[in-house]
Amino acid sequence: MLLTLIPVWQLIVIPGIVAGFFNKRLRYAVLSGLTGVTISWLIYMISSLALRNTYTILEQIGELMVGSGFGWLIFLLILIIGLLMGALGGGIGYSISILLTPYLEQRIRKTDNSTN
Amino acid sequence: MKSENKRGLIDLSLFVVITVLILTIFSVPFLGLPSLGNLLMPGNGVWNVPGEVPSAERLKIEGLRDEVSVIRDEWGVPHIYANYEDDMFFAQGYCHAQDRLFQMDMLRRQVRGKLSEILGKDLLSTDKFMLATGMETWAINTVNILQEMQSNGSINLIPKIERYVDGINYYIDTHQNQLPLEYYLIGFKPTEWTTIDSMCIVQLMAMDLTWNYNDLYRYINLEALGPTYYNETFGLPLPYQIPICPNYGSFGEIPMGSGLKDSSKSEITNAISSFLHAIEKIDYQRQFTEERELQGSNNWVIDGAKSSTGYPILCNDMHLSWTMPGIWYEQQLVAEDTGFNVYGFQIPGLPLIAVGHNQFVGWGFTNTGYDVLDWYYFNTDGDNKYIYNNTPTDFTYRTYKINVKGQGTLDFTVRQTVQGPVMSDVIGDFGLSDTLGDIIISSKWTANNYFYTLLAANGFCRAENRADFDNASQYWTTLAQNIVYGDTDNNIAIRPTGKVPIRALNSPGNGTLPFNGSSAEGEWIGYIDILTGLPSTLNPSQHYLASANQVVAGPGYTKYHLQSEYADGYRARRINELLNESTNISVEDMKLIQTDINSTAARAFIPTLIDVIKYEYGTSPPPEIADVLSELEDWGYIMSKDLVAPTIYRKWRDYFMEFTFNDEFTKYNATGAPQVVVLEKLMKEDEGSHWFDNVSTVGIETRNETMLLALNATINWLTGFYHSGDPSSWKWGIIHKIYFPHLTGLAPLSKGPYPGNGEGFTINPAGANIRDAQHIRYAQHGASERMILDFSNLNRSLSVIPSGERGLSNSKHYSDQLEQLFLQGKYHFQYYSNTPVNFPTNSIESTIYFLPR
Repeated sequence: MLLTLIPVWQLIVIPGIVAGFFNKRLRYAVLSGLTGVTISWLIYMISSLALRNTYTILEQIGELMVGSGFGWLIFLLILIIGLLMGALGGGIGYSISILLTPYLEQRIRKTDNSTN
Repeated sequence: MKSENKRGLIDLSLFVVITVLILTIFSVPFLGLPSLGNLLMPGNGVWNVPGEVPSAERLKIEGLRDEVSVIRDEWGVPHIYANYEDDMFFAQGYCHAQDRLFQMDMLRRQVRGKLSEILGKDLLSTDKFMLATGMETWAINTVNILQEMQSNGSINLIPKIERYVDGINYYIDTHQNQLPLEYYLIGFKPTEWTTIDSMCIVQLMAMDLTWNYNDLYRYINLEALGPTYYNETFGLPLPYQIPICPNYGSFGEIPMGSGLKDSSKSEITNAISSFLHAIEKIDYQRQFTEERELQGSNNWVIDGAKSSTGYPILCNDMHLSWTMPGIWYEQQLVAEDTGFNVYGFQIPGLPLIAVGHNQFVGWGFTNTGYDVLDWYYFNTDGDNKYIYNNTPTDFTYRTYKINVKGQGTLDFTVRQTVQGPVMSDVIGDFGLSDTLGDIIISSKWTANNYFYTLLAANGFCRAENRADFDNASQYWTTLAQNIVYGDTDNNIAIRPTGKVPIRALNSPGNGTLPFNGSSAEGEWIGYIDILTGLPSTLNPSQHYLASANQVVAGPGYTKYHLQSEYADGYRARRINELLNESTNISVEDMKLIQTDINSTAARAFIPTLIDVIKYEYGTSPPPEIADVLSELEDWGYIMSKDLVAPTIYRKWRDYFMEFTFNDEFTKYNATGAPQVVVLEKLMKEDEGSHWFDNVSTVGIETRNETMLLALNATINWLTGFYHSGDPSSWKWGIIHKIYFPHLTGLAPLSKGPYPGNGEGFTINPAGANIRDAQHIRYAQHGASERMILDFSNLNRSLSVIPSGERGLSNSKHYSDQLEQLFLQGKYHFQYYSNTPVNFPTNSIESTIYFLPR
């Protein structure tokens, strides 16, 4: 959620990557990335709706893009994008961990051997 | 490679590709909007639009002398209480930016030719046009001269404006990442505000209120119709006028004008026609070419002899284009050090108060229609010279640099004649090939000179009596206004005020037609002295004064030519009728007058129509006529959205105008139409007028026949439009709607359309164009504010605006006054006499404290 303070929304993939990296299985990696980003965005959006009446603006954007009364669709679209970014980030993180695991294990064995 | 690694690589590639695809889709512009990612994703765009003003906030400001309290009431109106004026102006600037930053930004960009900088090359021609008018140049020149005057001690104004500008810039600097929605939709950020920007907004108002092409249209029509027919339709003075200043006699029964004897030249007519056709393509100029009616307003004041309070009551509603947010911003400004205490309306981007009151005096504006703009045609002598006073003369030049989004900086040069900018140079950009030959068209306008309007406003705000107010009035140069006045000493007054040129004797048309610049026609030899040369009235025996853009003075004023156009006079007739007859008038009565929708024009036309119907059809009219007759006979001329008769009247009037004048106008290639009151006079006093005959038919149509033809056409049209032959379904509010468009034109940010009362001629105006059934044009112009000042107790004064105080579309104050007050004919109190100590607690919505750092 801290990344919402930086106006580069593309960086939201990073939390997903981090979450996915530390998961042993793909489905949990995707799930943890998805959940993390979605929940943080949901908290941010709901608080903004409450404090700044942002839903009125979403309604206006919805009317511009689709038609009257589609603010909920914009809200949903944003959540889905966050969900996707988190999930994809989780997948990326997991894939990176799969690729790096053999090298990391090798390094750990070397370190153990040298210690012994 | 192990299978796990291979699998990992494939997964990674897939995830990365999909991720990049989605990021790309949401990072590129979409449907004319900036990238959806930048607009919609949390932490960006719409999520950074400010919410409501915090209920309590303390801001430490560098350079502030002492604490300032800004209390916002339940309508979000800021009441600024400062110990020092400098601080007060800082807070005013901050509030304007906090509430209306985008609106201010767009106003200055219009004048300064900076629309294409944010909106692209489609607006380049508009930018060039606006720069060519010279408004920005003279705003800069005026700032320079005011700074000189400040330096030599002859005025004390510039530091106040600069503090105001500081307040705006403080807000901009501290909110670069919390901008109104419009900035995110368009994709730009506000730049620093300057004093020149504020002066440019004054110039824009001058354009809205005094710029027109009517001299050129009159020339076309004089050429087309000839002097006799021209004078019958466009001659002055208009009939049935009640002058604003009653001390110069009344017109009574008057013939149409004595006539223009000048004949026009066809080669000039062609050049002018070409010029006008190009101008008509410019979006922002269409308001001056399509309707060609003077932007109007109402104001009036009664003295203690007529009021229920024993003190004056002053009312003002200025008629301007409706926008979201509205043009006016309400505020109260209080400074202890000077006793400054003013409540009123101002345009965001300008300091001080334009219209309102202090503890002693109050004032309001309507447009005078003074002729402050002339057009000149010149022959050229090559590209660099033009003929002036029969002598080849070098052009002078002004150059500008225009930043165009996506195209860099372009150079733009304006040629100048001795009279003013060559406006015909900019029409080529609107797709018109060079059909003017060696003729150029140049404008001369009082806004192309130094203007001291803010000096006048400064004086009005501080005036304690009529003498003070008069002293300030002499600085009211551009945007000539009928300034109505009242004070706590029971004085009432009006002076149609502004800088009006004196044209050389024997100037052809005396300002109503374009001049032959090559022959040095139409030279301006001076300006009318505002205090001694213009008409004015103080404490009239009739105990009231009223202006609704009608003629300023009766035949007793013979000093100078003042107006080349003014309103038909229907609103003025109604206001005079109501005030003349009444005594013991209260504030509540004034509310009813300001929202009156009784149509004087309908009362002028409909009784005659009823008589004609009965005369022609006797006791057995056809059923469709009988139904319409019944509606009209039962009508009290109230233009209510729930009634049927307004629809019949209004559409019939359009047809009556069309059938009376269009045949000749088409035959002779004239343009536009006479004002409706001309038709009223013909109908009432010249039944046998040739205008009623349709020249395209063999027979000779009479007045009655034309009126009945119009009625039949009306019935057919309304039956088609409402899909019903039953007049009871022809409700006015179905076809007549009022609309409040957002500045960008975006429908989701606009308000309405609402079924609307009134018409263009009612005191509470809302003029829609209902000529074309496929393109009914909503009323988008009317009262831009309403104000009632009670001089017996200024704390009981009332006001309202047809929008809300804030220009942020997510704010509860975006349209609250429109929806909860204006549309119901309601008002709110001004809390004028309150202080931070005794401000009603349940009316305080928020308080900002500005504290010195």
